[in-house]
Amino acid sequence: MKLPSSIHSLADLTTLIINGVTILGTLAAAFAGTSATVAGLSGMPQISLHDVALPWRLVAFSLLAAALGWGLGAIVRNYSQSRREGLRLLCPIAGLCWGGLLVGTAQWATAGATTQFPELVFFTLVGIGLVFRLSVFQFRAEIGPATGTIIRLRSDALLFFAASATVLLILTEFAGRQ
Amino acid sequence: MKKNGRLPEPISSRLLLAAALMDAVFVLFVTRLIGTTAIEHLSRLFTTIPPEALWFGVFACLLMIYAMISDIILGGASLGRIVLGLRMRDTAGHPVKAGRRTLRAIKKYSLMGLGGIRLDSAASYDKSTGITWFSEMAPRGYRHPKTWQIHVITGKNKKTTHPIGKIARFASKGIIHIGRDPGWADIVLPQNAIKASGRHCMLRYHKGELYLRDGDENAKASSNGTLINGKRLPSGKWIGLRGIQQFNAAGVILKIDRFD
Repeated sequence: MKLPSSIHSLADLTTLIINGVTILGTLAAAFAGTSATVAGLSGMPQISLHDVALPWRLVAFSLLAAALGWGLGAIVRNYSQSRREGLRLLCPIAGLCWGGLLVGTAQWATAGATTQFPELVFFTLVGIGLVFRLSVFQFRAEIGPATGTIIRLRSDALLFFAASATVLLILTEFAGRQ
Repeated sequence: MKKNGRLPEPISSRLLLAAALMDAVFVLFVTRLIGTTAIEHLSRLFTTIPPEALWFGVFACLLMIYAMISDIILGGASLGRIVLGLRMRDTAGHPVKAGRRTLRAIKKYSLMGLGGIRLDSAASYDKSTGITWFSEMAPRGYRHPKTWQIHVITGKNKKTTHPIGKIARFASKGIIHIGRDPGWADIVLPQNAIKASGRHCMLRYHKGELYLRDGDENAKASSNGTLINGKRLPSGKWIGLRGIQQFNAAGVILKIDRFD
């Protein structure tokens, strides 16, 4: 399926905004420690999904994960074609960072869950699937040139993303059980 | 229409590892979902084993069952591979038959799957069973064999091109003779390539793959040998090229162009 270029550009712009907000939120949460402090420090409204039903949380998370997937795909697609070695190095680094962002977003969406259902693992699984699918959609070889080096950089980004998401998920799960 | 191309080995190994990680997360989810009940039963049976070890045991068992179902029954499809658009194929791009999939699975699990954890080449069990991976990320597909071409490059970068479809012996028997003897060879090597033999080597197309054999049909080896990646071929044996696009006939380079 081919998308018109105007929709591609609009999706790129939207995803840039969403990814920017997600990165800022995650960084703020990492530096400030608690979401309450984040709200106090950054002045950003505190959005909690604590009382929201599982399907709605899943929808909200899926939208964010889709934006992350589209963003990762767009960044890696462009930088993997760059002639500058430094920019090409950003591909696996972006994969690593996006893995962290995904698990962070899943944690935010499942915070306060009290059921037996393994929500964090389920959300992360859905998120990995969405990011993979949307990235591969952008990496299709019909879009731009696809030499061996370019495909290798893209596969590196996906591998680093999957590795960082899996490791962080396991660490989070262990931390949750302590 | 989506055009799937064959992935080079280092790339397919990376993507397969990424897919395996997603599959592991899926199995972790199933373990967490059904594990509590299973652990309760197992704890009664194995009272001395700590619950953490039982959790890990259930996870490992489910992972093994999942991998076997994926590799043998589902034709190489798993959740991670479907999402990443990876398809298990033979070297010609055809779906892999159940017998070969089972052989691959036996080889894979005899090493506990460890032969697949490599980043720069295909898994040992994929190599030995002639299995490759196709993806929409790699668009270059094989054209029909009749449209393939062989470029003959001599020492002074002089290149001649031979469309395979125009070789009568290839059309009737699927075989091409290569050498300096014009009475025998379909692709006649230049007479100034003095190291090449009159009956140097043969190419054969069989079930979607090209095979190369040093010497003639009477198993008489060439004088100076045929080389792939610098290694001399044993004479009298058909060797599968498995996507290799170039070989050396005693100093004359032959390049096979079979992609879109």
